[in-house]
Amino acid sequence: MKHDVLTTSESAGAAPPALAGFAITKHFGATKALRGVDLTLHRGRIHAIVGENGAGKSTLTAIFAGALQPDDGHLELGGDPIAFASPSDALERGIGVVYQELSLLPEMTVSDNIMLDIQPLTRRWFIDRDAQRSIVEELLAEVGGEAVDPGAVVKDLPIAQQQLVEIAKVLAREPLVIILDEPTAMLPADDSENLLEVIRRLSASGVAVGYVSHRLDEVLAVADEVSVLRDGDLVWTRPREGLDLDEIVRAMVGRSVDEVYPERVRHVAGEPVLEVRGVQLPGTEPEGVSFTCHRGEILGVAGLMGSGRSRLARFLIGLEAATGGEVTLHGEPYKPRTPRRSARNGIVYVPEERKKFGLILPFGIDRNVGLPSASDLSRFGLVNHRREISLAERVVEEFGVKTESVEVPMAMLSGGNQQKVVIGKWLVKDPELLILDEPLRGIDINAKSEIHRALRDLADAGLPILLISSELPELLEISDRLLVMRDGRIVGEFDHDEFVADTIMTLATSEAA
Amino acid sequence: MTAWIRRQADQGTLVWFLVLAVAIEATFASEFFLTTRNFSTLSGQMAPLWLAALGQLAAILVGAIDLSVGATAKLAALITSGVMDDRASMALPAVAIALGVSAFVGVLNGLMIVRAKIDPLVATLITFTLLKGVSLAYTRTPIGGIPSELTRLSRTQLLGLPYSVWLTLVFTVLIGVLLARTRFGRRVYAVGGDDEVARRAGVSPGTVRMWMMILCSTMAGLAGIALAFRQGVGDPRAGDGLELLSIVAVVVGGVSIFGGRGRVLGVMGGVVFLTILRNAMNLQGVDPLLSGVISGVLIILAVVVFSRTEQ
Ligand SMILES: Nc1ncnc2c1ncn2[C@@H]1O[C@H](COP(=O)(O)OP(=O)(O)OP(=O)(O)O)[C@@H](O)[C@H]1O
Ligand SMILES: [Mg+2]
Repeated sequence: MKHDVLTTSESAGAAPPALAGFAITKHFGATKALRGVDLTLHRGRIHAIVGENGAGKSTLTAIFAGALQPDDGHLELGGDPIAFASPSDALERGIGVVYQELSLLPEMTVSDNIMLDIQPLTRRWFIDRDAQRSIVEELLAEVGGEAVDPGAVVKDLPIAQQQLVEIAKVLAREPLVIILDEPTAMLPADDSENLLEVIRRLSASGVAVGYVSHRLDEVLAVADEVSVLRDGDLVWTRPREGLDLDEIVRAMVGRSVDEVYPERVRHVAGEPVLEVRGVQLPGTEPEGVSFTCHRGEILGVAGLMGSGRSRLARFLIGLEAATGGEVTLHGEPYKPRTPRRSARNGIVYVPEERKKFGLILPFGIDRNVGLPSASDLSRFGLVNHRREISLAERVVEEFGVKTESVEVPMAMLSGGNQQKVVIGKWLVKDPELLILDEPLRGIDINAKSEIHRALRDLADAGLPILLISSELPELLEISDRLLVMRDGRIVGEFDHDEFVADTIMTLATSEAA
Repeated sequence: MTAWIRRQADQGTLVWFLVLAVAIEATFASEFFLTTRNFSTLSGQMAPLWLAALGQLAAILVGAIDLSVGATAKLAALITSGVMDDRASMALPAVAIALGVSAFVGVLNGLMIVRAKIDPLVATLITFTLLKGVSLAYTRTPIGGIPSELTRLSRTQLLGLPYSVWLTLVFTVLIGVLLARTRFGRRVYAVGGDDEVARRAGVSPGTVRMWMMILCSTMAGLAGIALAFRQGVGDPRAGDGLELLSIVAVVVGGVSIFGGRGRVLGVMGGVVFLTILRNAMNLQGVDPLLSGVISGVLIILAVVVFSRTEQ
């Protein structure tokens, strides 16, 4: 089938590409985000764009979307030169973009978001709410979001559902070209498989698709051609045929995969640090959750979206109530009350929605890194900025954050680099227990291995780590032990030598196992 | 419980519980509170604040608090009365000029905010100062007059409510429908929520904001006209403090001060709450100074409760 597509496109080589950029160059101050990049999107084909964090993928997307103007080079739409004045200009000409950072209005309903400015009207003036609802239901079904209530307010939805709403919103505008910037980064495996299916269908119906992702297996599964960006340069564009993972990674980072994944060291855990016995989250089975996390171990928590993993984490720092059971920390009874108190007890929680909880975007890395440690960095209430800077430099160094200086506002960093800072800023605080919720989202393969390594080092130094992730392969790779959650309960517990991906997946998804 | 409060605040219903509380208290404390006479006084008093608060809602929904509302109302009141000068035949031209000038004030605010990118607070503060100056230059003493047949007409009752209140209700419904049922209304909420997101969906934030500033000032002008009709003369103190009262009414009505969230129903509640609170204290003979303090404290409490529900 892949082959068919390739031949059609070759014969269609004469037809003008749907959207193309030539010698696109974009600078942000001294940062060269893009340097003379050529990229062509063809009707009915899926063009994957990959590269490390900060390689320029989102910048290129934004230029195609009319959200940024290139400093040099030009765009062509259907073979004719064009300059988009604004995103709405591009939108009107059929360019739809799913941005890396969600573009939804949190206070508005799902329907109102999806149909913003394209609502069906009755009597010329009034929104036809019945018609709108049925259109929205259809669109949601198309992206596998049947479970999403069109009347729900967006801020109340889990992030995975918000992502589906975002995609439905772009589809509602019936684009001829659609560019998706890491649409699956926040989706669990099932949903992203579903989304890939949607993308294939779109492409089969003649839409030109640009697809940015760090999940290279997905890229190989779905793309017709692949472009690799590195530091703003286009390394190459090649047809999917004959490409393998190793080759892509080498082009992205300039070395091979074996060197990227560090050899895993089997770990022997120490005495118990956190013990949870029979804690019941509201609305789940009365038997509750019980587990122990030991000194120096990385305890993975697998499960589907909504299985209670994040709620458990939020309970442990006092953001969510639970009934019954008991928790001990270092053998002492411990009752989570407020995030502040938990932080003082040395429990550090890195949440999953970085934009909402993790970062202050107008601040630089220095001031963000300084936040959790503010009391350690200050004297008589005055923050010692020089120490903030040196902390920030440590984070930049240890995690390989790509930035010009630690003082540039976070908003100017690429998505993946922001994520590195979110994690890094907590690690410099020397906590007693570290809880990470989905820390590996939207991070390139190289950064993942850097974060693996950093976590491993911390664990070796004695820190217990509770690691929640939907990326099962990575979770299996890095965890010493693994808990599997479903419906607010723990349905399985494995030591590292018992890990079998299939068994774990089955446990997480179904009753019978 | 907090979720319930949040939902009520979002929907603009929470403030009505406050209204109910004050009403019950006042009913027990004064036999005069629940009379038709007091009711018609109250509803007549409400109209100017009500109109101004609807305008303020329009501005705040797009993230632009309008500090020039009171000064605009004052100028409109002076113009209405000054141009009419006790001649019923001049009623229409007077009202038209007052509204035209008010709308022009909105254009001015809009240009400063949208084109010159001046912060709305600063822009409308400039307008406020400017208009105060213009009003002072126009007159320092009560000016002109509204012929008594017209003031009487505006107080004539239909089904227990004066005409002025009916007119106010018509505007309320129009704005309510505009915001809740039309495409333009959705644009307003989108722009108030996030400019960039709105732009990405094809909305032009500048245009929407411009129209809302014009709507706000026009409603302020209507408030001024209502004031002139109530007082029968152009009072140089008309509209003083209306900017603050209208903001409080809007915020107490559950509207987000940052824009993007809020409903007409809540604003109505806010206006009713402020009006009957003052009325209840008057009736119970509370010292005006003390009543100022009491309502100040109550308002602060209410604002704290409502803004707590933001997260
Ligand atoms: N608004 C901005 N101001 C300054 N620099 C910027 C801005 N946006 C992006 N950059 C810089 O441009 C470079 C490319 O960023 P871009 O967001 O395109 O990367 P990316 O490939 O999408 O990375 P990721 O995988 O992390 O999302 C980065 O070095 C980034 O710091
Ligand atoms: Mg990006």
